[in-house]
Amino acid sequence: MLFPQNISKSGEWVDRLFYLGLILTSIAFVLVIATLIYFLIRYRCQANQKAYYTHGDSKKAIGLTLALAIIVFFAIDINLAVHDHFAWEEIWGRATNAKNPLQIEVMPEQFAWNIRYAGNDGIFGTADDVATINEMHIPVNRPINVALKSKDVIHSFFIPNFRIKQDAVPGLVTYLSFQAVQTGQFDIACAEHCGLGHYRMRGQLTVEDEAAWQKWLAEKSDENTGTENWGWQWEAASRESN
Amino acid sequence: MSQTNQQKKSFIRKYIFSTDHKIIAVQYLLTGLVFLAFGGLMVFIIRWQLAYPWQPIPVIGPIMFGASGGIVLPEVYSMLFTMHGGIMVFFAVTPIILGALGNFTIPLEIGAQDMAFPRLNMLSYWSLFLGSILIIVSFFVPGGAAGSGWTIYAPLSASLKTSPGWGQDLFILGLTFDAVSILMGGVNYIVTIMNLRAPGMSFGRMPLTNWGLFYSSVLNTLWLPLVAAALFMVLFDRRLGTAFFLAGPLAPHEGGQVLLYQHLFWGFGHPEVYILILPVWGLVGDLLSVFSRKPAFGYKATVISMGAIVTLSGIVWGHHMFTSGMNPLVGKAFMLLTITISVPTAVLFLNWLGTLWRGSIHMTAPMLFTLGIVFVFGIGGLTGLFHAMQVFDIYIHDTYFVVGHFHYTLAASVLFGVFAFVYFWFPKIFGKPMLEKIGKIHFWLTFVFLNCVFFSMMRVGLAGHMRRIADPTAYAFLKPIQSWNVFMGWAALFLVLSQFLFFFNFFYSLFRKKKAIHNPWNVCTLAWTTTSPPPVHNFEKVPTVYGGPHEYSSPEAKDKDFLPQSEPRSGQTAYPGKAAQVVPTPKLGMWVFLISEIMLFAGLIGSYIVLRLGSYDWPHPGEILNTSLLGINTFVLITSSLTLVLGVNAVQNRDVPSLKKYLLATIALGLTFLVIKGFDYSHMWHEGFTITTNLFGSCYYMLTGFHALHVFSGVILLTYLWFAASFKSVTQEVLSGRVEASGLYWHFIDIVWVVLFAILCLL
Repeated sequence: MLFPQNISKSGEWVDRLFYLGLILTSIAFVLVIATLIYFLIRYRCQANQKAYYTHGDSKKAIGLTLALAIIVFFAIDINLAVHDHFAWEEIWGRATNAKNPLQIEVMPEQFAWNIRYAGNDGIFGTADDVATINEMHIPVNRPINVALKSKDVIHSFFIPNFRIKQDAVPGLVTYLSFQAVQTGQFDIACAEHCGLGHYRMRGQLTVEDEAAWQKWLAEKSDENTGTENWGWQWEAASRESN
Repeated sequence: MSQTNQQKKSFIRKYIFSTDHKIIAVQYLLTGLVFLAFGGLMVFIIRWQLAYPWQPIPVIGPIMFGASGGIVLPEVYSMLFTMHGGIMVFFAVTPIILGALGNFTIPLEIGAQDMAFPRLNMLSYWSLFLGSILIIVSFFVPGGAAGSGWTIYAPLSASLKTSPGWGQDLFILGLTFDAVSILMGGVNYIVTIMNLRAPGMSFGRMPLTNWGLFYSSVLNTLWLPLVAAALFMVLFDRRLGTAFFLAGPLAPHEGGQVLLYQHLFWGFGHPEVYILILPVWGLVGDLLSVFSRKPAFGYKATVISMGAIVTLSGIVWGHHMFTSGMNPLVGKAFMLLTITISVPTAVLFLNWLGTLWRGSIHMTAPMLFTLGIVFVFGIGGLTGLFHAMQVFDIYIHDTYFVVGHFHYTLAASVLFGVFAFVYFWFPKIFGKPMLEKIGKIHFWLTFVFLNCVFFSMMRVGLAGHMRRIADPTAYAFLKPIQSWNVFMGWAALFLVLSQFLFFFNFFYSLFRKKKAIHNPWNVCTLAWTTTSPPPVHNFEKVPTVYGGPHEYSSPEAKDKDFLPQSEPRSGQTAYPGKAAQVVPTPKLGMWVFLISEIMLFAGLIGSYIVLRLGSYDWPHPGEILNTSLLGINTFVLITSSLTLVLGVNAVQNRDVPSLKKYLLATIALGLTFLVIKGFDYSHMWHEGFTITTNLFGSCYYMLTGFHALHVFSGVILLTYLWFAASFKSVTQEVLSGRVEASGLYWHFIDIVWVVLFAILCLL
């Protein structure tokens, strides 16, 4: 309704967290504003009606204020934090223990996504690697682990339909996991301002069934893209050439 | 002839280079309003581009962007959102909330005749002025203004390959002058509030606005130097070839730590929100009380809650970095710290409601804006919770949900604070009343359109709309919400147009004949006991304070419904305020300044430690540095501290000739240090160890270079004192105060050197 279509196995947790937060904060907000409006009407200035002289610093007043603040803290804040904790366990904790994940390396640069698959041998940095630009294909219902490292400035790998985002930082490898439950075509966006072309740094994610994906990988493999000189060793290599 | 000259000079002295805090406040106010208008007009172009991407802008497009046929190019779009943020935060609301509100209200409300350091106050404004000139100039240099976002994230900002041109450098320099201005103001505010309160004005009798300003100044003193350190390092990376924040192919060698910049930036950046909102909260507390004709509910609880928020604000910066690759466990700690802020915030809200409860509420224009702050800050604060939740924040980070959230907290709340301040204080500042009805219409129009824009921002953010993109229509998932962008465009146009009512009201009221009375709102505080506008030194006679700032509907008030603070009441004596000066003014000013100096070096030295721990290729310092030479230098500097101690001793014994002798010795030792330093630099540079050799080289030259600059300014300070010791106009007491304060600075420089020597050479 408010979010883009969810195609991730655990994306619902994110949406649920939002709706829980929306309900809790709306209650708090409506209560405050309703009280405010009631006071504004009830205690508007009227002839021969004087305000009640109190500093509100009696033990009773301060105790009541503090008690209310702490009730709000537990009812909303701690409540949300606990739900956030379980959502984290579900989305990120489970993902690291997933069985038979597909590993993908992504190295963004201004203004494109370089994407790399290990190929048939399952090892990165060999001749049968598959490298694409702005084109990511993944099999449905299989855990995907993405490792990110930027070539130049900070980019942020964002797929709204999965409710996930991870910065790609130069000099640092970051990780991201997700699993699709539906096939289709989706956008990969850059969420961190990375320069003039930030708005057009768009990748295409294709989720397809295992067979179609295998076929695509085989086709790509024939193009011999894997020999292009980048991978996790690109940094050391570029330093040597300098 | 000579008479006109005399008048001309007095005009410049009176209105341009004035040391009167009230004139300086007006200077800040006008500068801030000019930039508010400037940053506000940019909004229209930004929202046009988002509503109708790549369509030529009607009417103004061909004039402004003639070369591209009236179309906003991507590089122009980057500049617009960068400078909109930078200008609005640092050159529009900061000058108004800290500069104008702070300068005008602090001395008047605490019963002082002026600031503690009036000349420093003047310098503070002119530093901001210089900064704002640099910002305006940056639009006209080749390549245009900065385009890396107001957050100036490295490496995008830190390399000439990714941010070419001088716009970025001028933006950073402009911000540096602004930061210097804010720091000078902060020193002044803290010392004024601590030392210049009128007899009887205890801390517990200060208006809440002054409390807010005091807290903001504390935050500025602590955290502003941190971002200054980060921005200096960005400048070094750009222009001197270092790589503090660069890594990978952009770096000339192994590179530094990219995320270090974000830690330093948000270390200041999160407190910055509270720097701007704390005075506004104080204003809300005071104005609700005035217009409910009732004492502020839970004054003490409010002050303590604001203090708690000040403390917490310094340790929650990590919630800006959940997607940066941070350890999830660290993220959880930041989440828990962040949500604890809602306890003191809830206390504030409850106290505001408590103030209205059983009051006698007057719906004036400033009251409307005050209530508006309660509304918009309610939304802003509660949406903050969504960002505290790590899992949900990962989805909405860097989307328009964040933009909407911080526009509610930082833009809407603070802007309403600006308007509440102007509508409320205008009669006192200019001695003229404003037009109430137009003020009310201005409020309702602003309130409606502002919510239309900012609430829609959060709506499109939930749909995944990234911030800082020039063309949302390029993405399939954003197609369904494009109509919201069109709606926001039109709402923003009307929001900007509504502000003309304010500007009309401001200038019409300013130039009309009608005069304001002394106390049009029937306020208890000291500012409203003097004339409107107040005379040069504020009060004919320094007032004595007998009671709290919010004595409305007090049963003791006889013929009116409020009891002014300066009115004696039965059986109550004034609190002995003057005796509360624990530290003399010049020394206190130096201590506050030194705290920010400590934070600057903490930022630089902390960065050095982080860079060193993160490096896998660190050279052995003993093989590069000339340790014995640096050891001699350490000895020279420690000796100079000793001679200065003897000098301070001399001036306390009223022995001026000895003082001059010891000052001269200290200056000579300081110069010796600098000469040895220069020799050390040139020697190592020739050996091939330069600032670009490696991270160690960059750190070495940066740290010792900043320190040498401090020694140099210390030498200048001491030379000035040497001359001042001969002036007849400088009394013994003043001289003694200055020598002692300068002594503190000199000893601080020595301690910094000992720390630097230890961590650079010996570790």
